[in-house]
Amino acid sequence: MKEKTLIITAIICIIIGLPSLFFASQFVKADDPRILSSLSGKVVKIAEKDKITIIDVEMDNAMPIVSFDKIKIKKGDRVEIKGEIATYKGKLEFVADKVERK
Amino acid sequence: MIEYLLGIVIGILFGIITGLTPGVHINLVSVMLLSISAILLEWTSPLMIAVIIISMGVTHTFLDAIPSVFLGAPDPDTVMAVLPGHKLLFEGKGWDAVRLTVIGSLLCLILAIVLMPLFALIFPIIYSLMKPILGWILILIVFIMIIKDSNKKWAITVFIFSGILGLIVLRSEIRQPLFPLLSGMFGISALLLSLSNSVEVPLQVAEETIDVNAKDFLAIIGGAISGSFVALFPGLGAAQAAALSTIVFKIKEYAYLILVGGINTVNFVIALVSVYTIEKARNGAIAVVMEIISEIDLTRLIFFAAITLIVGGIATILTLKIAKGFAKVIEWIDYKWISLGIIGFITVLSLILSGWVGLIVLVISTAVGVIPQLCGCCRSNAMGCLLLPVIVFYVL
Repeated sequence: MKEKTLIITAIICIIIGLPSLFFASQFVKADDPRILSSLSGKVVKIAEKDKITIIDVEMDNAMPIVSFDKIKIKKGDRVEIKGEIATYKGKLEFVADKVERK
Repeated sequence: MIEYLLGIVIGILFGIITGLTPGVHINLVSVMLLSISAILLEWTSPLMIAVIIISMGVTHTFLDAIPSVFLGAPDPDTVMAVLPGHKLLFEGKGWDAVRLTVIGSLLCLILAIVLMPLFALIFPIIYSLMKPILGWILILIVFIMIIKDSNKKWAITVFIFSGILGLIVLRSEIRQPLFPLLSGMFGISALLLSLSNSVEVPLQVAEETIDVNAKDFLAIIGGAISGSFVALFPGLGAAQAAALSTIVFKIKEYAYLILVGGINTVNFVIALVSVYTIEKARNGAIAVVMEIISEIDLTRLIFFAAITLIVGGIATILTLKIAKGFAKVIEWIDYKWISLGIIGFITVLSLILSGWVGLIVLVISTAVGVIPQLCGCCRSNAMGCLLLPVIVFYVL
């Protein structure tokens, strides 16, 4: 087998692979529902059970709350938020359905 | 699309480093990427990191033949290539040895991708049928391996010694146990014998055409199939597939190197199909990919198949060029010093990776590894260090 034949075969693989990659990349999910993030904070409560441990952590950094509606609040307000935890670009955020001032 | 091409380039660069450096495995780099993934994900997507790891893995499977052949320093997946590769090196055909593994890697990769839909259909069936009896199949294959050996007494001795060593080492708390175990068994043992025979590396001939016949190409089918099936089962990897294939197919060096090259690449790529069908990651790098992206659906499988095809093509060209450079450099340097350097490097790396216990493993595995070559039995028997633990896992 000539080395030239091997190189030509390799180039053909690249030529076939590139449009296949382009086509597949139009349909593939880049983000992932899996939560992969890191948290830091102060432990305020520890509850040890048989097979699990539950800890309450007062987090160092605030979690971003994303609302798609206009909300009338200002800094310092106490709020109650209803919604769900999600990820965006691998980070945790809370998508709010409803934000109420308490 | 541009992002993914950049991921491919980064992965290939990592793969060149891991492939050419003895002792640095893609699993190590993959785990390092996982540990900093939370930071990386501020700039990129989980899929991009997966692209980097897969590109690195495929590139590694092409390039790791170079240190195996020219330096006698194999990684766990290329151990079975060391002896025939070294034999060709001392015939002045070291570059041919690498080219044969590249032929195997590229052509088996293409065949494996073409057969992916079939594998996706039959893997779940084969897994459920074979899993209960796999241990017994392996026992039968080992029995045939020993019976076929011309020196049965030493074949059994080597298998048992290496098997017991493997059982102890792989069940211990030693960090990175495979490195000293396999480097001693297949790397240092071969280098010590080269040193004792005062061999000199002759001029390396780099001809345009490599002499392969039709029978050698059958090794491509063997490589694609055996590399794919061992991707289904835990404890089995490229090295075991190569050892088992040599028992089933009695083939000469050229076909053997094609087979080993093919198994190495296919085993990595088809692990993606294992995840898609039976949701089991069968190698460390793919396990890390699953930690980052959690699932492989059909679109992602096609996406990754396209990635491996592109990377396989690029890695082919890179390996051929780099191997040519190695072939020229190795003529200038006294092989005695290369061997001593590699032995020293592996020893130091064993100490760093596995501690002083790793050094003890290295010495013992080297002692076991020289026996086949001195006593005239088949070197495959030393794969007992991996086969016996797998047999015990499945049978007991």
